[in-house]
Amino acid sequence: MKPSSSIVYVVDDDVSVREALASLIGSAALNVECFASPQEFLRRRNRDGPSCLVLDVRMPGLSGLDLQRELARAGQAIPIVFISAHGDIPMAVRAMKAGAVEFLAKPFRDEDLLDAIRQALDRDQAARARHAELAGVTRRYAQLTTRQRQIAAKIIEGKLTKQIAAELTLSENTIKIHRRRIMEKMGAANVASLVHLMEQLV
Amino acid sequence: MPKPTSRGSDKEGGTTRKGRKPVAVSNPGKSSIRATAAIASRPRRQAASASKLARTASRRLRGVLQNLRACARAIQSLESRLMQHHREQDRLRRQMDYFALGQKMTRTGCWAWNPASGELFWSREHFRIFGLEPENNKVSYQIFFQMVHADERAQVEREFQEAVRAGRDFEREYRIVRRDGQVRCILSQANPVFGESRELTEYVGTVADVTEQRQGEESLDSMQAELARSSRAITVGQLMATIAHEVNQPLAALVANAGAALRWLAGTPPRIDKARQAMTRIVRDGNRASNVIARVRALVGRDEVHRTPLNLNSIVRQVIVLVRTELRRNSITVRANLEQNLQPIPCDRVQMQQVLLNLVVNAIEAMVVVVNHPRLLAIATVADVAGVIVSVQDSGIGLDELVLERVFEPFYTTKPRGMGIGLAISRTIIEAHGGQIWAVPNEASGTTFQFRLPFSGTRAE
Repeated sequence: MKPSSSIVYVVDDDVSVREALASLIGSAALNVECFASPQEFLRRRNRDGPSCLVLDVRMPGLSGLDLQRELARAGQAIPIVFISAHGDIPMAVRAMKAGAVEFLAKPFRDEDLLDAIRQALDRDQAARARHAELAGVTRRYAQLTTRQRQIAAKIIEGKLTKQIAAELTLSENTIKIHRRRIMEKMGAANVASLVHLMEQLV
Repeated sequence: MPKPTSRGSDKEGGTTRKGRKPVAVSNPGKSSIRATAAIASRPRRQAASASKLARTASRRLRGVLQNLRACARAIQSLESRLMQHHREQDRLRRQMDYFALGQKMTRTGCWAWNPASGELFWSREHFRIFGLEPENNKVSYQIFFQMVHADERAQVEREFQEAVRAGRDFEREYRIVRRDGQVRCILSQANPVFGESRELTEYVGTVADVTEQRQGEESLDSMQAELARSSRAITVGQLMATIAHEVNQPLAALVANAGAALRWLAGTPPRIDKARQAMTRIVRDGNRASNVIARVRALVGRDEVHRTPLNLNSIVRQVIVLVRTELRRNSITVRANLEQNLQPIPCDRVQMQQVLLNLVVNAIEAMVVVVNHPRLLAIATVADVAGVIVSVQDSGIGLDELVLERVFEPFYTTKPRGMGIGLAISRTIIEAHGGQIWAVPNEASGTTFQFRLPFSGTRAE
């Protein structure tokens, strides 16, 4: 079962479909929020927690594929499950190439949709975890002083304290103190872990 | 003047005349003395003989003149005959030139073939059409047939041989592949020539290069066919897409609601209220789907249908014209056996065309795969007291009984790219006209599709 913070967004212009999907997704103990148009979805209040989008392809105004492109451009990476009343292969190929989780032709089996939703939420959770880790590293790195960043760069190059001291014309003791502070601030237990953390910033 | 001759010369006159022997003249001195003496002694005799001489001379002169005139006449006539001959020759030569020019201008060559000796003559233009040079190339029956396009070679030769055996005229269009690789369309016509005892002595024929005409016609035809196909495909395709979308929406909702209801009931504790709501929506969505179908039917029903009394023969002919190129391209012979004085049937022209075109196109497609026996499309109309039966018979691969029972079902198809709509629509149209449509296997090969339309009692829908 997903944590209660996860949410499934449904965007479909057909009220029958919205109601049915709200009930079906609700019956699988998932939070669900429905929108009648892509525009309405774009105005939504942002929530934390893993989310995914169940998106109809053909809608008046902005289509599902347009919304997918719009979200990618805005950097809002949200896993999308497409649903379409037209089993249109080129459309499906386009959607999948642009990173969709699944493309389901209406009518679809309820299990197929729920499986796709779970997969999408897992994907989003993993992405969020990666994102959170990156945010953490960035935040910690930001706490380093200019001198400490300079020394950190040399540490991950594999240089010894003695070498760094020589290069920066500082005492070995000073380097040792900075080194300890760097490890503390970055939350790294050893050099290997520091290298791993710093790699994510590149 | 020694002109008055001696007796001797006189005596000899008749005999020497011809030879013009200058006897008297040979010795002028002596003879002139003698002659003078003779004249002096016998003046009367001399006068008589002179007049006789004159008469004879004049007679002979007349003869000579006559001969001369005859000669002149003969020469004249000879001359005029010679002139005539020259003119004739000139005319013939000009005729030959015109003939050659005519062949060149009409791109028609001629040929003559002796079936007994195998001797084959080609005109210069015939050589040119076939991309050969009369100086450097020999022709023969075999060489000719080698140049006929491989797809048609066997068929053309068979038809030609049949014509020869029966001593019939031969007419056929075929393609040739020239040695430079060019493919040309040739229209060939030939007539048998019979000897005195009615035996076949030779075939004389023409070959016309009709490539350009055919290319023009074909592009026009294929354009028309493409237009007809695409407009039909768009209509059917668009209709299908609309129906699919309109029906799939409520169906998707319905299936999702059913899934939800089952889940709410299976939960612990079961959520009866949620399940009931979902089921209420199922009823609503089911009705909505059925309304969509009703709307589509109403839409199709409103389709412009004009029923006017029509002669089905004219529709058959139109459809044959429409598929002419297709038939020719696939070497299919068409035979129309149409009932004369057919009573008009109230029907919609476009719909009838659609039905017939569909049957004919199916027949063509069934025959295209046939290689070892003739491709024959037979279309017939037969009338009885109550209506008309139209049949479309092919010599194609045929369909087995099990398939024949199902061919009119929607979405049933035996074609790799078929939609299974054509015959279903045909049946709908025929039944809307109060008729029936069915298919039977032929005794030999292929299938016959038939439909029957009544003269009256079209079903209103």
